[in-house]
Amino acid sequence: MSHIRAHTRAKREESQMNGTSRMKLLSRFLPVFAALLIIAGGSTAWAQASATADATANVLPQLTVAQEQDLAFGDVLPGDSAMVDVAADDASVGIVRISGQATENVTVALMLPTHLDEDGGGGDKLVIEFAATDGAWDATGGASVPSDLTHTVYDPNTVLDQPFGGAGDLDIFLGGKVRARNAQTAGAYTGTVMVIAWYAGS
Amino acid sequence: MRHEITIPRKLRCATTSDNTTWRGIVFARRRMLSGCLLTLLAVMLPLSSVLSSVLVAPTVVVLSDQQRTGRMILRNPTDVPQEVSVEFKFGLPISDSLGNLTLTLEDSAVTDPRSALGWIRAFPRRIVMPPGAEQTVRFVARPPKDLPEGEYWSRIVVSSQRSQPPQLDKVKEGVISARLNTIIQTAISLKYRKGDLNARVEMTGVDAIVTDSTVSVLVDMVNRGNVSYLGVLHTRLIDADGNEIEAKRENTAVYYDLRRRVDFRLPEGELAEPMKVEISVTTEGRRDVPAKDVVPGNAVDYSLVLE
Repeated sequence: MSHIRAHTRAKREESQMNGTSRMKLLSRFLPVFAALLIIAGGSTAWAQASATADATANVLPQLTVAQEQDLAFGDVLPGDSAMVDVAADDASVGIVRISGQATENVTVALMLPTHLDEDGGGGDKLVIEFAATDGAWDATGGASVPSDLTHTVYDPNTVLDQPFGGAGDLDIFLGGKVRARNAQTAGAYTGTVMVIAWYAGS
Repeated sequence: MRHEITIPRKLRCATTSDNTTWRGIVFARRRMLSGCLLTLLAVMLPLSSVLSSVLVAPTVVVLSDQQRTGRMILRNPTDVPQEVSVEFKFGLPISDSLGNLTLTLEDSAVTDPRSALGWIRAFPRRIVMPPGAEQTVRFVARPPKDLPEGEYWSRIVVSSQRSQPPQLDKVKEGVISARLNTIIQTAISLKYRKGDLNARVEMTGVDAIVTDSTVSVLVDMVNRGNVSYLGVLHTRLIDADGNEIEAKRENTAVYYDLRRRVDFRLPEGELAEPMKVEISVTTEGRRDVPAKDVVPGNAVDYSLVLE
C-alpha cells in the first residue's frame, strides 16, 4: 500500500515537474511560434497536407472494319459458272466485321466489281455478278460464319445503314457468282471489293 | 479526279419500291488504293488473324482557329503488316426523295464554299504498319485568310490492305480460279470551325407511308445555322390509347438539307387507331462525339397523326 502511494506521489511530482518543463519550453519558443503564425497569416495557413487529384481518361470513339475472309469461288471450268451462297458456303463467303459504338448506327457501302482480271497481266476478264440476295448482315456478334448466325439477307449493291449490336459489332457476308465464257482463258483471276464505312450521323 | 459513288439505300417497305429504278453502285475505276483504315485507340484489342483491318480513332476530328492541329490514332490489330494511306476528300451525306442515302466523295474540282479540301494536311500519309503497331497521324490546317465565320468540312479517308498479297493456290491446268481481295476504307468527318458558331435546324416537313405491316416516316430537315447540325433524331410510334408501339433513335448530321427515313414494323393484331408519330431532333445525347465537339443547338418537336 505504501509502495503505491509513493509511486503515485512520484508520478504526480514527475507530472508537475514535466508540466513545469513544458511551460519553460513553451515560454522560450512562444515568440517563435507566434512569429510563424503571423507570417503564415493565421490558422488557415496550416492547411492539412493532403490534396485530391483527378484521374481522367479520354475514351475515343472508334470505328473498325476488318476483313475476316476473302470471297473465293474456287475452280471454274470454261463455259461454266460458280456461285457462293451467302447463307451456306461458310468457307468461301466474304466476311467483313465492322466494330464501333454499341447500338449506334453505322453506314456501310460495298463497291463491287463487275469483272475480275486475269492474274499476271493476261488481259482476260471474268464476269462477276452480285444479286440482291448475295449480301447478309448480322449484329449479334459471336460466331464468324453466316450459317451460325441469325442473319438478314440484303442487297449488297445498296447501302446498309444499321445499328451495331450490343457488343458493338456488325458482320457483313458477301456471296456472288462468276461466269466463265467458253473461250475464257484458264488461270487465276482476282478482283477487288472496296468496303467503305462511316457514321452517317457525322 | 472525281470518283463518284452513288449508293442507293435499300427500302424495306415503301409503296413505290422498285429496284429497277434505283441507281446502282458506280464502281470507281481506279488503281488499287493504298490506305489506312480506321483505328481504335480506346480498346487494346489482341492481335487477330483477320486479313486486313485498321482501327481509327476518333471518328470525328474537329479543328478550329484556336486549335489548328489535331490528330488521329491508327492501329493495326492484325498479325500481318498493313499498307495504310490517309487522304482527304469532300463528301456530305445527302438523301433523295425516298430517303435513299448517297455519299459522293470528290478529291478535286469541289465548288462547295464550305469545303476544307486543299488546306488541311496529314502527316504521315502512307504507312506500312507492322502487326500490332500504333501510329499517330497529325493534321494541320492552313485556312485561307479572311475565311468567313462558320464551319468547313472534309472527309478523312483511311484505306488499308494487306502489305503482302495472299498466297494463291496453284491453279490446276485448264481451270479458272476466282478470288476477291478487299480494300477497306473508312471516311471520318473533319470539321474546321471559326468564329461564332450557330447550330440550328428546321423541320420543314414530315410524311408517313403506311402499309399493312410497316410505317415509314420521312422527316425533312434544313440547316439554318453556320455549322453542321450534329444531333439525335428521336421517333416514337404511338397508338390511339397513348401506348408506345416502338421508339427509335438515330444520330443525324444535317449539313444543308436532309430527308431521313425511319421504318417501324407494326406488331401483329389490332392496333388502336389512329396512330401517331412523335418526332424530335436535338443536339443533346450524342454518344459518339465528345460533348465539347457538339455545338449546342435548338431542339425541334413534331407530331403527326396517321389518319
